[in-house]
Amino acid sequence: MADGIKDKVAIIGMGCTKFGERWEMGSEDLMVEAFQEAIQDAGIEKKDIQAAWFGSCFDDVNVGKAATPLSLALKLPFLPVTRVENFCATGSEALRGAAYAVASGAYDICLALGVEKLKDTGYGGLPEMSSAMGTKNRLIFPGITAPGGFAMMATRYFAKYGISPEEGKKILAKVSIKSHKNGVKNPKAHLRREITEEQVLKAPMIAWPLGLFDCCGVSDGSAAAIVCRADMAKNFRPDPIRIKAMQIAISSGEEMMYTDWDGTYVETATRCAARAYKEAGIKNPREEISMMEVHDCFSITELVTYEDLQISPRGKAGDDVRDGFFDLDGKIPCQPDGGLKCFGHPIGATGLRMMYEMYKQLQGKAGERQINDPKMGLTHNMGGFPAMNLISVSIAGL
Amino acid sequence: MRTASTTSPYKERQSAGIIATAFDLRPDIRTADFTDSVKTGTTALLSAYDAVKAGSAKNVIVCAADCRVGKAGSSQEEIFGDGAASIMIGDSGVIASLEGSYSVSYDFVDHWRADGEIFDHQWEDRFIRDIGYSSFIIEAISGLAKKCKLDVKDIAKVAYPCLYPGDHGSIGKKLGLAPAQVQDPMLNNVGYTGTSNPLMLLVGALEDAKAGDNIVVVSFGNGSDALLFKVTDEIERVKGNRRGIKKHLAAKRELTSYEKMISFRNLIPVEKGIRGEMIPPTALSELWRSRRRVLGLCGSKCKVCGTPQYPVQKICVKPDCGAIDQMEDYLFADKRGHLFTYTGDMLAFSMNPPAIYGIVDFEGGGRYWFDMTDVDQESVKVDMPVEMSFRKKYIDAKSGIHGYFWKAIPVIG
Repeated sequence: MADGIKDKVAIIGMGCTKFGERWEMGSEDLMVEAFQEAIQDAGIEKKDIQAAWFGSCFDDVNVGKAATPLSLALKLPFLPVTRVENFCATGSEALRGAAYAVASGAYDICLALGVEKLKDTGYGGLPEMSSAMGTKNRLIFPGITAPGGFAMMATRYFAKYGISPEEGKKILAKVSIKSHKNGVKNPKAHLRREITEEQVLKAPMIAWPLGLFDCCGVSDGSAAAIVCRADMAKNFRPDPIRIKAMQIAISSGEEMMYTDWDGTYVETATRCAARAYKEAGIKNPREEISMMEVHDCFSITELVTYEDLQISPRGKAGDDVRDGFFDLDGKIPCQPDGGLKCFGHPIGATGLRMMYEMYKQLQGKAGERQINDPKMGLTHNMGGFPAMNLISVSIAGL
Repeated sequence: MRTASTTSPYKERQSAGIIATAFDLRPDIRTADFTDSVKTGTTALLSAYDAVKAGSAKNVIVCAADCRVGKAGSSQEEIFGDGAASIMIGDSGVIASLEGSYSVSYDFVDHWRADGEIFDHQWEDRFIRDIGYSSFIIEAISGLAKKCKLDVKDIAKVAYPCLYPGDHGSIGKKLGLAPAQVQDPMLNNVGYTGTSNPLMLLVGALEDAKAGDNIVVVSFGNGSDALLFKVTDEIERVKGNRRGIKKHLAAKRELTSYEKMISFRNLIPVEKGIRGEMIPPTALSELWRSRRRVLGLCGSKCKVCGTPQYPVQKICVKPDCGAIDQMEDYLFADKRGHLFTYTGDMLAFSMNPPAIYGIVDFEGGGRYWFDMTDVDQESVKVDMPVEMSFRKKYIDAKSGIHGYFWKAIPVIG
């Protein structure tokens, strides 16, 4: 009987580049930067790595297809390398591939590395998506963008709970203000300044009702992890981080084509979180989770994620936001590193960047962002639109 | 299926084929495009009539549509309007029987547009007015009256295009028509709509007609066709339950920006941004196998659980059903729905930003997301009733492809 990967795999080294508009750095440079930090952190050499998982999403404006970009950039000695892509959860998928390979017993030490160079498109926002949706969908999909896809969840959330757009935007503003406050404390973040409610509310509209500050940044970046068998982790360092759960869930189509889903939550996240908690043995997430890095591509995503992760009751996340529950000094700090909001979202790297913060926090190495004695960190990485998506939920602890 | 237009999107790819697929018509039909003269709307109508009369067709749909553009400051720009009309010609349930017709055909070059040109050239207005417009229409109507032994006093309405308001009235006077006998040519509220103009005027006349009325419909362009219709008792069956002219006019929305209007017609360069310039290639083999679901908005309905779904699925989407290959065709094009949610997107490229789109829950079941049109950010609301409208989705100028699909619009009338 399969029993998941809890405590079978440990993270012994991680690296993360500074995220931002890295005009002078190509994807290869970013990969090497993240990789160097990771192997130095793990205290291993390149030759100790037995296999690698490489995450990149928009290959045509990034490094191209296949696993060769990673292998070539790092000069990996003819290792088995797999390229993964799962929309915006690509970074988490790379880590999942590496972790599951170790858990299977096939390898002792694996590398997961994700990279994305979004600033080579020549325009703002994520690359134009219709070509990524297949030949049929482009004939029938609306001219949808990421902010628009998520804005429709805000529209629905406000309508269901009787929240006026003005009130709703104020709740969402608090989500972004909190993350910016954390981002200031993080030298690796892209956007490092505090914002005010007035700025958020007066910002240009991107996709109604979401304004500029409801949207995450667009950046270049790379992040990497070295994973190994949990039973050998202490050979490398005294404070390895154990993976407690690593789950994903993908839409079946019923949200988009059947009429039961009410559009105010993410079905996959709800199911994925339940699975991850089961794997990790967590009964009461609101009490047992110490901190989170969630996929705050948009403020509304973070808000409903609090509910999908069973931290806040349905329709009540706004109350927790108002109470400072997710602030750095709150009960469950969320986005302690600044989140996608301040890091931007270089897709292949994001999931690994989230885990990088949990890893550092659990080790007590998060500097002025350090959370007091965290035990269990959760990452939530999402790809696609609320109506059609995939979710990755990972839990890590000491 | 017959279409008539001088402004078809394609030089080679039949509009009638596109529209027949949008109507989800069966393939064993005859389709044809009539073009190259604004007279051709009535010519298509006569061709349909001839086919039905000869017994080679039972029912023929005639669609006439034009979006003609004029240069800035030209009289064409002033009088041209965009419009379309569709008339079904058949031999049962007839609401107006075609009693006779009279055509005159001349290579009268009042205006012309060579292959590849956007704008018409035009000869002097006095020439067009005196030798063409005021002459051919009278010639056609007089010929029709003589042929059908019709006294103009017995005509309820005569409908003919208006190129020159003063002369439109004079034609009626010369024919001995009282002003009440002349159908409003809709120059002021719609404009001169080319091939579709006489057909739109016929629809307008039928909206006010009663059984026994004689209606004469006349076109102008390289000659003239005049058609005599006699309204039957069946008119009462359709009266008030068609959109026609009145309901569409009632649902009008004002476009107050001239710049927007000419940008919609691609007459001024518009900053689209790199995102807007990126149009992924259209897989025409995909369009072929998905033609009914794309152009016809045909989905499927599970025979086991009855769930309608779009697009067509092989495995039922209802979570506790999941039946495999138990689908029957299910048309969404004629279904109304409610707007489940929406946004107005300033990041997405749109010729008319913000790009408004949303998710539609169809009455009777089924859900999908669609671009919206004929709405603005202020008018769109969660749960508002919507219907589906066949529209242009994109133009891939590099490949010469005009993509069509269905958009959600507020329910008309």
